[in-house]
Amino acid sequence: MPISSCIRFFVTAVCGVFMAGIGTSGLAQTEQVARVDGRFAMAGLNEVPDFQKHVSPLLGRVGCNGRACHGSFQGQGGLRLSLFGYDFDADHQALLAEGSGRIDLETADESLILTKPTDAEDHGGGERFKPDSWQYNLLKAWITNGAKNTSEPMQLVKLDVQPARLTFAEFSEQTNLKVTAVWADGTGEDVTPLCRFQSNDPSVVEVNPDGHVTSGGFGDSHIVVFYDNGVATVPVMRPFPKERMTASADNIGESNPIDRLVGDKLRAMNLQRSELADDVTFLRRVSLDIAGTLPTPGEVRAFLEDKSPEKRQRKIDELLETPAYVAWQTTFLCDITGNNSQELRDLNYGAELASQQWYDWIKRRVETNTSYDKIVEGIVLSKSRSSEESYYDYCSTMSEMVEKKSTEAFANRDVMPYYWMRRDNQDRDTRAIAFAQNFLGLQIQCAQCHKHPFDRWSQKDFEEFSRFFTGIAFEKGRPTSTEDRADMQKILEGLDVEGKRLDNKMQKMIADAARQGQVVPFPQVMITKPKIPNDARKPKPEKIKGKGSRGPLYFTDARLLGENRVSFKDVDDVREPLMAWVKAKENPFFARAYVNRIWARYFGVGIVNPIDDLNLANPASNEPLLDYLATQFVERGYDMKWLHREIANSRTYQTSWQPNESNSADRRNFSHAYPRRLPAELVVDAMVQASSNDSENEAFLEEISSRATALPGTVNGRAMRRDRNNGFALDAFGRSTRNNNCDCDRSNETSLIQTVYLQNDRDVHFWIGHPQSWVSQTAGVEIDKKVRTEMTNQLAAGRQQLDRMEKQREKLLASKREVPETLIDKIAQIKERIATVQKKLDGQSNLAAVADQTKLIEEAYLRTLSRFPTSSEIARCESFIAEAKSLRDGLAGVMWTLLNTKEFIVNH
Amino acid sequence: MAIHRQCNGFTRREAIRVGAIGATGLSLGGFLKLSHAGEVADDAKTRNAIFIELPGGPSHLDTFDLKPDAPSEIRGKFSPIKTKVAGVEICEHMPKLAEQTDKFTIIRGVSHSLGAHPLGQKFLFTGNRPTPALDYPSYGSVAAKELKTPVDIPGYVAIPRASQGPGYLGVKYSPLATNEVPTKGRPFNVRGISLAGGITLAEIDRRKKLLDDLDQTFASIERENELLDGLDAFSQKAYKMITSKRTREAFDVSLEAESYRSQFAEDSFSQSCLLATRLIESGVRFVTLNLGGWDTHNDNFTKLKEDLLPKLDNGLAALFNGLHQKGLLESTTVFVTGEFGRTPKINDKSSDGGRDHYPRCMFMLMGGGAVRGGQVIGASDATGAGPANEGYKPEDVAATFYQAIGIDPKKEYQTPTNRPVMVVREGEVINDLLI
Repeated sequence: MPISSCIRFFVTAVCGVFMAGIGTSGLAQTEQVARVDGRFAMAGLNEVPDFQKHVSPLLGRVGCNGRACHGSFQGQGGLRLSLFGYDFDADHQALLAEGSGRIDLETADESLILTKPTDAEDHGGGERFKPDSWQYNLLKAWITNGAKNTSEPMQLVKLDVQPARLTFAEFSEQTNLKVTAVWADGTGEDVTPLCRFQSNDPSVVEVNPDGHVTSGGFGDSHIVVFYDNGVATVPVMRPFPKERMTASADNIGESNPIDRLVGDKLRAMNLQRSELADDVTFLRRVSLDIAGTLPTPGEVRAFLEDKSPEKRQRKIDELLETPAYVAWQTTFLCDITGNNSQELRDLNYGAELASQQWYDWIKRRVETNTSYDKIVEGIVLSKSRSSEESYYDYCSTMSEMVEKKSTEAFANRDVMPYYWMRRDNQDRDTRAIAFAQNFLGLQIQCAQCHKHPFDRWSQKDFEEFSRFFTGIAFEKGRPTSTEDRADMQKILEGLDVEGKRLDNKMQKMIADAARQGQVVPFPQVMITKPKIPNDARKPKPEKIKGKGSRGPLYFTDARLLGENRVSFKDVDDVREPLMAWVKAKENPFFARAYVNRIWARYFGVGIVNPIDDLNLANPASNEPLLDYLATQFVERGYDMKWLHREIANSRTYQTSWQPNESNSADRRNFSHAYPRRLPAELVVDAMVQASSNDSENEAFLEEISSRATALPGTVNGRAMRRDRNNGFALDAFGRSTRNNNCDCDRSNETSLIQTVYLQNDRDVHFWIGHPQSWVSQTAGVEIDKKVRTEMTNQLAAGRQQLDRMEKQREKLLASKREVPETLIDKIAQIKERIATVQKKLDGQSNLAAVADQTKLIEEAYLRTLSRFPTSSEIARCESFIAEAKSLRDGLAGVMWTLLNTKEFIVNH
Repeated sequence: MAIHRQCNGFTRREAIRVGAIGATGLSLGGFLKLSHAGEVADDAKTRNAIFIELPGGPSHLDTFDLKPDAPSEIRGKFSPIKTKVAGVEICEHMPKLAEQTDKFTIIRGVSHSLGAHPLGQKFLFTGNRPTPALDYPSYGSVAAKELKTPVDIPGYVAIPRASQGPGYLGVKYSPLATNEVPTKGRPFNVRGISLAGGITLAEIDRRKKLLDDLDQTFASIERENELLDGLDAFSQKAYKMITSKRTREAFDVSLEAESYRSQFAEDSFSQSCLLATRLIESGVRFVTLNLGGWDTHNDNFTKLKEDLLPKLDNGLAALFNGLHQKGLLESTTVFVTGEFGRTPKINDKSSDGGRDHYPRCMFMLMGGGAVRGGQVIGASDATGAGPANEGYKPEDVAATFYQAIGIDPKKEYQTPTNRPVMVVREGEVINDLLI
């Protein structure tokens, strides 16, 4: 397999070439060296090739360090090169390994790195270049000049690609790219023959190894260029045919900046926006997106009657003030921070309570619209107790919470340390990976083992960044400090527990004691101050390398991603400089990651996709739009509600899902709305809401305690069965598993299990028909509530009795004994009685008693699809009900059918 | 990335061209239609599989790789017995399996380096070494994608559920989980399959007709839209399955003849094995089941002798024999594995002795289908501390398993982020294992 197994080909993308701190100026003055393929076309040149600038990129370019070749961690044929390069020392060492014969300084032509790739010597990878080619000459010249390594890698300050953007009018247009590298010393070189090229959507544009570009079908994408640790992108557009547009694309006011920026791109691509979605479509869409809740029939009617031009804006504001919004937004923040009860097992007083506390801590802040950076700060800079609080006091406070099962007091605390107590978030490498994904939308894990294939991060960058996570100690058992230990001893003495080992048994006893109101010891997150070694002493990072690293810090500094090193001198908590950088106005990731995620919640796709992968090779489909939202989000003090309002009020968000001739193929420019399957929690909530009686249906925005969006953590495996809160459905519909540090932990795909569930799961039948359901409320009207309850109880008792008797009979049969007549009679009698009661309860009453079937059908539509039915839909439903054996059965059938429509399960 | 194409002559161009035709070209609906068409053209090369997980990590030294000549602190308490195949010996506490060794192969000297349960299981139950960057699909999910299934039958069933998910293939390749294990003598209800809430087939049918008439809102864009097309296709399949007599009966083990049923013991593992054979007979292509409890740090010998080995012996022997009786052994590959072996040296954590996690050396079983039975391949060294020679990687066995059920292990998929990944990334097919 080619190296590309580790490369993503993005379907979407776009924009700015940005390399840390580099402008586009200065290229004109830079002296440019000509291309290596020209310079080394003839052998015997005096020039000495540079290991970093020429040899290493060449090895990458001809494929030597690919993962199927010598880049494999096992190496290949005895030679291992660093995957994707940029580990100059390791590669140089590998090439010059004594006795390997790879480099023969005496007789250069005998070197294996020349004889192998030319296939003169049997080579598993076949011929990579010909003898006397420029590649051969270049490598040979490097060898004859001593095969020197790079002393200190020179900084690449700019990778300039010309043309900087491409627009193609025709299929199969051709052009060539020219790539110039500009180095820190001001020198420049045309490095086109040494680059790797990639098209993010080969259906739109293809690029060959030499940077030769061929246009493809309609659409837009990027070409990505890699050289050294530089990544540059070239936006490519192939606009749709203009004649498909029936009107000017800028036919709306575009007073909202979102609409203007989206409009700019649409115009460039010859895409015409779809119409404005009608009122009912908008109401359903926005209610689900903001509050995770279906509008009630009453709401739909009122909204249609409201003639005010501001009614949409007002609805958005209303929804943002509901508890349902708070629950849904809290669930989202629990997703990205990883509130997973399975991973909180180390909390001796119960992972479920901890998970609930985590949820409630965030919920409290969403309720008050605390700024996003403050919420993140409360998590990132958390420790279990303040500096004034003693271990004893901390334990006493926590014990009280456990006794009272209180999450209130926990939510009132300033910080939320459980993030650092997750089992899967303990060593510094995983913490660095989690942190980057959770808060910066970056996937840096590739760089844990090798140069990141589509970003600038080297292994060194990763290692230096991960040092920020070395000062956080999760003290599960015995605390480290002497005072804390003394406190713990005091607590243990007060408890009726024996033994001294803090093993599982003891943990259980402690948890029980806590529930009974005693003060018990608690695990805690502590911060270790970095110890800066004397100048004389060498730093010993190897001391704390490896898993679960904690204890004294021997690092003197760490490096922020894409920034300078930060000294640990005079720093008490190394997370502080990290957090300061995160929330700094100019941080290139923090705000972008958040606004991109929120955008994706409203559109189904992000401006960057995958939404949590903001790497350099994966540009935004609309960079000015992403930049506007991120900049304004920071300007507005990370006001989460501002962002929701800004997006939801845009014409772009309120566009119909119905495509027009020009835009039906568009999936990345927001020309029309894309139908999205409801997220798992909303599938469950919407089904329950749609099928429940009026008063419950109407309470959904306000009363959230029983909703799926109010579930704190996530459980899986065996524990799932205990999750009475619809764990089965939530897993089938792909709620976030919160265990991979990936937004793809949540799935919005469809599956057979889902449709089987919708059609025939006991949950669905139950919700439609249970005594408190809308169907019962409507078709069981003639039965008095009290009578109904009585009948339900009768039924239950009867079934129990029947069950007992049948078991008795089975037992007799099994032991081959005779079953007495009386028992058989009794069973028959009970069965009959059950049937009679059931029949009554089912509303086997006369259909005439119910006034207006049309109204009921309308009601069913409003509850599920949030719109009025058409006359033909009414007629079809009426004939269905007429053929049913009762009104109740008929309505249950209609409700089942509507819950099974695509229109129901999709937010459109 | 074009340069890297040359690395092994691989080109993505063709695949990309197909993709470029548009969403309809390779839509889920299209995929399902293809697989429906496959039902008609079902051929003799039909390959099914049963995958049996032994989570916890069974000791190789006390089961299928005994070392009677090793020192006592390694050898353990069990003796080998002869089996149906001359020269092949297994532990004395599996006499029934000893009668079935002609039907499967013992693979010894499989070796890897992941000694923790979750990681080891991820590795061994997907065939790919786990990385934090990518979630690999379970064997069954790959099979669900590749093997054609009759339209009214679920392709992949897990009893009661699978430890590994569909990974990057997505939830559409999740198994139908029974959620429960059949209990002898009791009707077995499978969520979603058994009619619930007192509803009748006739009523489901009536409702479905109403649904077909009413569900028209997106008709104009449905075929162009992968989500809507997929919902539609899955909805049709769900309906066919729910209303299918053969699907409902597939899960009803009480319909098996008493003479057949009685060879399966009453415990849940044997009953799962019984259900698995019935499901395969009904057209299910892949069944995953498990027998756990192998994490014998303490009381290794008691636990094995009194609980685990009898269960494995009863269930697996009946499974192989049952498949044989039904004439399904030739078309059904059975693969049995834990996540690692256990330490050669017996620990003293308990009076009975225990063994700890040991990924460097383990055993696996594979039989039926295209697998050549009645042999031992590979070997461990004198103390079971590692492979005797080069040994096998879990990926090699994984590649062979896929090969046996007609799936090319080198086939390349695209992840949701369009990253190309082979079904098995590192393994080489072990030809000795196949016919």
